[in-house]
Amino acid sequence: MFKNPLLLIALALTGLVAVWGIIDTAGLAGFSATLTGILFTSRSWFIMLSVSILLILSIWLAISPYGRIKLGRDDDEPEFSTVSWLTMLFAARMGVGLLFWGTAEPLSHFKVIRNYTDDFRAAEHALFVTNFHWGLHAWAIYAVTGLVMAYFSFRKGYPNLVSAPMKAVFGQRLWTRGVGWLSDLLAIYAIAIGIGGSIAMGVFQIQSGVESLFGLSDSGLWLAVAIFALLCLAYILPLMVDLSKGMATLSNTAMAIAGGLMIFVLLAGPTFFLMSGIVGSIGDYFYRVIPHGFKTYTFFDEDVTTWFHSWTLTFMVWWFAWAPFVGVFIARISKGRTIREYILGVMLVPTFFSIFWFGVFGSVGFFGVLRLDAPILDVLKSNINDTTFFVLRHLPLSNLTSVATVLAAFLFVVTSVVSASFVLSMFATGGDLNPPTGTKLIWGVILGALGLVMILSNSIDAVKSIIGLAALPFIFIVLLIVVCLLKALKSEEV
Amino acid sequence: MTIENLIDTLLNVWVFVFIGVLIWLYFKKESKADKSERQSSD
Repeated sequence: MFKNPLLLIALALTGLVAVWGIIDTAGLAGFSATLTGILFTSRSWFIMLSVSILLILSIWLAISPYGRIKLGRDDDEPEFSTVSWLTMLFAARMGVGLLFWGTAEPLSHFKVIRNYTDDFRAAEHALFVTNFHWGLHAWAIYAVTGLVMAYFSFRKGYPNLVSAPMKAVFGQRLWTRGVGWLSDLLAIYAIAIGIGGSIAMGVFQIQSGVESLFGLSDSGLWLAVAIFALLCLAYILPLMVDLSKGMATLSNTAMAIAGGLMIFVLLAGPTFFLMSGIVGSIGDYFYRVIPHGFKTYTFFDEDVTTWFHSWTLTFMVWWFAWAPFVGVFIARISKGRTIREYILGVMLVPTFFSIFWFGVFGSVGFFGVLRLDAPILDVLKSNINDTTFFVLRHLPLSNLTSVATVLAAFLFVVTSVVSASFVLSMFATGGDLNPPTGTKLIWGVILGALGLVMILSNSIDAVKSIIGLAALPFIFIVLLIVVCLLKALKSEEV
Repeated sequence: MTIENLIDTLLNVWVFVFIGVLIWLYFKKESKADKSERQSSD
């Protein structure tokens, strides 16, 4: 293990960030915020153009004759039934992020947009922007990254590494070896930092849930650190033994709880309002989604520009950070499917699910603000982590639903860390599908340390900028491997 | 020119160069050696 320079450098790099963050949390957060601020200002057009190109490319690949190409040998059949496959695609997206942002994100946009227009238009646009962040553009990033990995791995027989497409198309040259090595390193770095952020968000969410359940007001850092310690204990065991089936059960349980919560809120809340919100946002989304991908808010004032940077750009860059991780997962489960099936499934199913999710949790928030005059916007300002629980407290069986949310957040974080440790170990050992337990444990510890750094920052904005900094270089790598795919497709007979 | 403008220009020049390299890589003709190497690994 210690003879592998990629593994050692990746460990050193991520470990360094973790140590820096623990010793000087404010310093790391400030540095990340300054640097992402500079990069976002000068590259906002490039980020939006890249994600729009990836979306248009995905649609073109699905409808072009290349859509008939199989991700595998021509006689390979799909490993999973279509229903299981679609369910697993849900699972890839269903994470702690949706639980955290369900109500908080649409309301955060609403707070800014209402300064420029009427409340009802602001609510509509806030829901649209939320769906934009979690919809087709996000999934185009994942779909294309996963498609490149699946194509070169299952159809061409290369290892499941980010560097493989470059070596496959341009041969073993000095630049492909160098850039490929750097790409594998940056993929590891982006995943590790991204998962660290996910751990922090999960801990913040669970902390608010526990405070809400036990009536604690502002428990401070001790509760967050106690929850973090519990999470670490919970994910160490699955890293030591092969619990692949058990992990799938845990992930499915978390998914079922989250799905149940959504249905409960839909039925126990103002159902007509929520259903109208969902139907309205489906139409609004598909009518405006492609042009909005090119929107850069260039001529707006500084408040709007800051909002655009801290939300749209941050989310898009965040999806790039997750792309190697989610891409490997969706590629792994899609062997034997055609490019057309793959793109339609990966992009449409999770997008519709997100529209439903935010339609329910976002609209219930808007119902509170617009119809009941409930002080949700004050909660959002004072403690964004508590927004979901504030909504649940105003519905029946609030203790039960709060416990369910805490449990789902806990399970999502544990399964994410275990899967990420596996993928990171796989990348760091040159694509070994059964990486050694020691390597997985080391990654588990590093991910925990990165999570701790983000918890110590005690700010979701700091978490977002630290992730942004790690993910920005990955945009270049995704575009490079897309060129490899397009070049390889030219030699396919369709 | 302020330092912010200089940084902004340099960052964008890097992006333009990168886009240029991508276009060049896409249209670059494969040498015979590349082709045979790729076909043997396929």
